Amino acid sequence: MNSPDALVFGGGPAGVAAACELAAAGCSVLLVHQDGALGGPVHRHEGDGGASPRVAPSRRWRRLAAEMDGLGGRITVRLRTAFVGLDGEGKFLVRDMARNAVSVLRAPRAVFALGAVEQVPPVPGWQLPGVMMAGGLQLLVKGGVPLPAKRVVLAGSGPLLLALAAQMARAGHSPVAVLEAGRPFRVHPAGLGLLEGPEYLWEALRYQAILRACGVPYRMGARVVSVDGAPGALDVAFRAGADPTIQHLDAGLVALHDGLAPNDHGLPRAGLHASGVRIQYAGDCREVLGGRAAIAGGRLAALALLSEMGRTAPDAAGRAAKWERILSRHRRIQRAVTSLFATEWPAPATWPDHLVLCRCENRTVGDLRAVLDPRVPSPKEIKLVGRFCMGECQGRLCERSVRRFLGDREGVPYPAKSLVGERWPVRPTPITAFLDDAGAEGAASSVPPT
Amino acid sequence: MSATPPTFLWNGLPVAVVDGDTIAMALVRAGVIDLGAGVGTKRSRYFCGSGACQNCVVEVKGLGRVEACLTPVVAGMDVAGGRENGDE
Ligand SMILES: Cc1cc2nc3c(=O)[nH]c(=O)nc-3n(C[C@H](O)[C@H](O)[C@H](O)COP(=O)(O)OP(=O)(O)OC[C@H]3O[C@@H](n4cnc5c(N)ncnc54)[C@H](O)[C@@H]3O)c2cc1C
Ligand code: FES
Repeated sequence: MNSPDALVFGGGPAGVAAACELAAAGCSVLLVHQDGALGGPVHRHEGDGGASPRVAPSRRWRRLAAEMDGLGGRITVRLRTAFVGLDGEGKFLVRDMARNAVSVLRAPRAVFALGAVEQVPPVPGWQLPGVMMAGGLQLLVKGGVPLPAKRVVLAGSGPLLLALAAQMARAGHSPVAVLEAGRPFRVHPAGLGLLEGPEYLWEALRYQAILRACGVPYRMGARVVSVDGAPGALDVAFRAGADPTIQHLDAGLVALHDGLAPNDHGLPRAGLHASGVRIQYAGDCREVLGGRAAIAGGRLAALALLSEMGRTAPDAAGRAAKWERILSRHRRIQRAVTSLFATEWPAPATWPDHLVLCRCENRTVGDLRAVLDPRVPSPKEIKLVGRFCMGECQGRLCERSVRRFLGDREGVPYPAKSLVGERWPVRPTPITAFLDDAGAEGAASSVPPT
Repeated sequence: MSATPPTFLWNGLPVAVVDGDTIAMALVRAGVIDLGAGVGTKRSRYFCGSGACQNCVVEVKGLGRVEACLTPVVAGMDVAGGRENGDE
């Protein structure tokens, strides 16, 4: 199926829901997903049999998978294939990860549901081997990979640290400590917002109970200051609350986390593309609202495309209203979660010169200060002269810190998205991958639905 | 059928292949965390696990430079870490 009615990129809950909704309306759908299994970070290890027996399929995911199966041959899934770009003529370029070869797909419309990208806290040492993102560590734990270090420290801020710590404890490899810079479990008016999402509250309390039972210290208000050393022998420096004393923990591995942002770097904008292709975003890729909202968001994106095709089912308006209500509810819940985990990282003015901002191009806070003297240059200069947000990760890792730093200098927030544009390939793609496949539209073989 | 477990090569040394693993997972199983020389003074390493950071790029014979965290490991693969091996 190389020219389906619709392409869906990303096979998490949002992408699968979008594919189902499109297929249910009679469209042929090609669902393109970069991992070896559908599901996204939360569900990808569910139902993979022996590999990770601890992950039981959730009811939500089981229902969605059954819905997809029920749609017969209308959804084709291509796994281990990543979106890399959309050219001006409407050719979607995708990379087959196993062959490292690029091929071309065509469709008049597409949904981008590429999920979220984790944010790095501004902590010197984050660039070292032995330090990884919490999500990276979570993939290892869920994948049943035994960790090569006994002492693991989780640090930064956000609900994922709590979830990961509990998952590790359950898997029999408790972290030494969780250093949570925020104070999520304090009594706070923002907490009332969570009453609307009792399932989140319940989940958080359950994780806390697991940590307590396994003796894992969950230290709120503990702000990681730096990481130093080598894999197996890392030193984690942190401050507890207002206490100025710097405390230390030994760690073999360190996982950092500081929230999530939409994984939309370099994607073509939503709406009508210059090539005539219609684009919609869905799920965390559009707005980080979590997995439950992602399903509603995927369906809404599909409905929007269907209505542009003039295929509006009689009950569409009612269903759209229901999904919009789900999104609003999760928007309020996420707002409450964000304020509960609100973290005061040190002001950018105090960041040390040696703090690496961009790891791809090896650019530090000192380098940024040098570019800034005496004035704050344009986003273009920041990129072309400063070489920030220009490297292989397309600014996914440094963009927020660079923007924070610039906003702090100027006294007004530096505009979001000013440093990352609509640029493809969304990932470095070797020229050879193109050459291997020159002209061979849709050369990659397709994988049957799982 | 051979009784020896399947392996791939990491910088010339055999590492066990586990079905369904990516190159990065297989390396972590083998205790390999540092993936060799990276940009400037930085070392390559597994970090995000999801193709976002590009910190884990390795050179696979016949495939070229790929993300270790997204590329399925295959018995007999010849994988080298570090930029010095990848750049001309
Ligand atoms: C690292 C991480 C850990 C998380 N852990 C938890 C948790 O423990 N509990 C919880 O409740 N929520 C967790 N979340 C949040 C949860 O994943 C999301 O809220 C939810 O899955 C959103 O669904 P989605 O379909 O929008 O995106 P996702 O489920 O993230 O699915 C998007 C998929 O797109 C794929 N993709 C990315 N780029 C490309 C590309 N170029 N081409 C093709 N495919 C691509 C990704 O591999 C991913 O599987 C986590 C999120 C992240 C990023
Ligand atoms: S670990 Fe980030 S791309 Fe592989």
